[in-house]
Amino acid sequence: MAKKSAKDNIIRERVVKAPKVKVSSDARFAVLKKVSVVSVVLILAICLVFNLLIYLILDKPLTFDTTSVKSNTISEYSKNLLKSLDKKVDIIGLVDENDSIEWKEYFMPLLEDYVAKGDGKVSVRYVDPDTNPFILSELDPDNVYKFEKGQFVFVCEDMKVALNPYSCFSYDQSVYAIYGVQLPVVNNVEMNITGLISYVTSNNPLHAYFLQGHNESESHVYLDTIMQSIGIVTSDLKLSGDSAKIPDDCELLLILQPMFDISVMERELIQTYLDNGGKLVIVNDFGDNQQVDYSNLNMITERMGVTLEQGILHEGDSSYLVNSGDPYTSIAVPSSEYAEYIRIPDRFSVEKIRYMSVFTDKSSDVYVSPLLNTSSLTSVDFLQKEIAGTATTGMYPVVLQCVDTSKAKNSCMIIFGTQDFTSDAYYGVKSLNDNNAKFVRACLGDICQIDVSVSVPAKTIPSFSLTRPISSSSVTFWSIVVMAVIPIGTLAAGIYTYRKRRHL
Amino acid sequence: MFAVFKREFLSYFRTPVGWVAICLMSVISGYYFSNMLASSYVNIAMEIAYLRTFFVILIPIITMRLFAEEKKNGTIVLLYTMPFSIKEAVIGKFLAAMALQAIMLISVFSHIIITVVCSGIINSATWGAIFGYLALAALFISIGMLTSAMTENQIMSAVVCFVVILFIIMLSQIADSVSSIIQAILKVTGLYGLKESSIYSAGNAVRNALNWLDPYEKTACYTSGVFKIVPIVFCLSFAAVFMYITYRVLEKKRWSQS
Repeated sequence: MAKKSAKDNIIRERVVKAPKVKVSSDARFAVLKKVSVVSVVLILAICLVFNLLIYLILDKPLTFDTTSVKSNTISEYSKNLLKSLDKKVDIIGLVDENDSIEWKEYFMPLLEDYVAKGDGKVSVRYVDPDTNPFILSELDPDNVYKFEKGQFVFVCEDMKVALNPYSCFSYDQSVYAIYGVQLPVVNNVEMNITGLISYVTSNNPLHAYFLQGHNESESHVYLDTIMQSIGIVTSDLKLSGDSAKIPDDCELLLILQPMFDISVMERELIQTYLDNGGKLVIVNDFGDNQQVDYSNLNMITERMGVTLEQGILHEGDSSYLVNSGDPYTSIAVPSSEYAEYIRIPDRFSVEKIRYMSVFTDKSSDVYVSPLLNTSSLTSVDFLQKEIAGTATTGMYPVVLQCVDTSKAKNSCMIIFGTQDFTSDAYYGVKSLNDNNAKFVRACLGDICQIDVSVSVPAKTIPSFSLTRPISSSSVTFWSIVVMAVIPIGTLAAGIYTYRKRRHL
Repeated sequence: MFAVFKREFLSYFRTPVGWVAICLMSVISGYYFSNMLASSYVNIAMEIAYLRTFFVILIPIITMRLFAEEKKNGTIVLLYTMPFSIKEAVIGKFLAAMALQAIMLISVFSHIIITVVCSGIINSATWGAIFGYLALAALFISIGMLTSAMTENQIMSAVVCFVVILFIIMLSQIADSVSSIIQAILKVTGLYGLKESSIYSAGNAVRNALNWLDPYEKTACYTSGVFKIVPIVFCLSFAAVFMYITYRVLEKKRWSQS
């Protein structure tokens, strides 16, 4: 009986213990599941925090610019400017930084470098006016500047200025002519950004105005870039109406290739401006405007001892010609005094140079100096053949500088007899690293008394165009290789292998 | 681990999967390259950036069978019982898929050779773009491996992987939409009594946070000649996390089976 009772007890015990074993296994599985879930959540959280920290601490130090021209790194000039800043500059990109925009790769890494090397003096943020419409009224409460989406706004205390990214590049004109596509070939982004930082932080910013209203070229993007790079900001100016006046802050007035003469009122305003120590730049070649009578404009230049004539310079020295057979496209060289002064002892490509005659009996207070000349074998082709012979073969000025010292403040004028120092058409092909850009920069620096001895270089964008033209038969051949031979060969190998192995 | 790698890598070429993937890649890249060649403007970095969008098709093809097939055939038990850990099996399969992905770049390397022959430019951005491509591939392969480990149906695995990669590709658009929705909700409900400018800031903060997670955006810098370490760390660390999750999923299944 006792034996049976013991056996019963064992059975009872087993019955009672059996579920306990099951509970233990489930518990282990539950624990494993819990460990899995917790460890996964934990590791995900650690990974997120780790990446966030790495991003915040090491993103900038562990960024390397591998481009050959260091297009994502600021130059020594910009670094020195940042070091010398005593004010903070806020750069606001009115764009969605996540949008795919053509210029993005040239702007964003470079701006990051400004921030990294700005020692806290430069900050950059991106605010899309579409998602945050308040930004426009916050930046420009009175709607004076008319900022718009796509621009970068530079703010330093009360100074504000906008930059259009598309104007920071030189484009390949030949590609545009053939394909209608704007292919950037030179990147002037740093030149623009540094120029604008210099402008907004300057205590006495310089403002230049382009006279408009005479069918002048409205686009002077590259000249703007050159001027901004030396701290001059530009605006257009129309001198029409009774209240027209040249603004008091006008450091420099530019008249670029007017297609008809200025009015009497404009002439008087400009003369008054010059009498008060104004600075004027005139660009006037002998192209589409050769029939135009510049009587009023000449009344201004004649006070400085120069007349814009209706004639074009004809280069007679074949070693000065850019294209043999074209006497109107030639080389200009600096006058000996100026070459030493501007330290650009080079030759400059020019075309359609207007003949400018210098008075021999000018006032003794007026000084006229040629900055660039032609060769000594140059003659003049006049529009009216009957006056041929009044100019003999010799050396003629291409660019002239005139200073009038008769008034309390000296007035100054530079006349370019060609558009090749200022036009978008020229720089669109040649880029802002061209000698002509260096020359016009030196001239503008000289007239505005700005030190331009150091500058930010324009950076070339690698051209992915094939340097050797490829024939259409070669294109067809390679297309067949990459689109048919390689894929079909691969597929055939796959089919062969599959057929051979499918029964294994 | 090497045994798993070898077995898995060779199996890509014993079945049509590897060949089809390489063929598909060479057709897509060949089309883009021949278009560039016809315009005499050849930028291989741009080609690689273009190819990144096809991860959405190529990665599911490569990864769908990694674990799903093993489960379907019952050979997964072999993985559990073999004298190597599941971790090693996961890493071995991952490396095999990465090796196939690298081999798929052969078509791009053939384009590089053609470009050099035709006097085109191959610069640092090209190599940077390849680097960024492989980092992204590592991340997506680990995601594909996880989806494969979660099911025994290869099609299901491929579809889930496709959806996840598509989601990542569209992350910036999704971020925009989420931001707009949050702004609209805060505006309509007047929750927390926020000012309108604060509502926009809140929406933008959410958008920026989501965009920060976008691996495409992070690796875009390589094509412009900027070499950053942080995006690589981002892709590889998240790849490691997904591999760990794959390991946990397999471990869980192992014990639930027993």
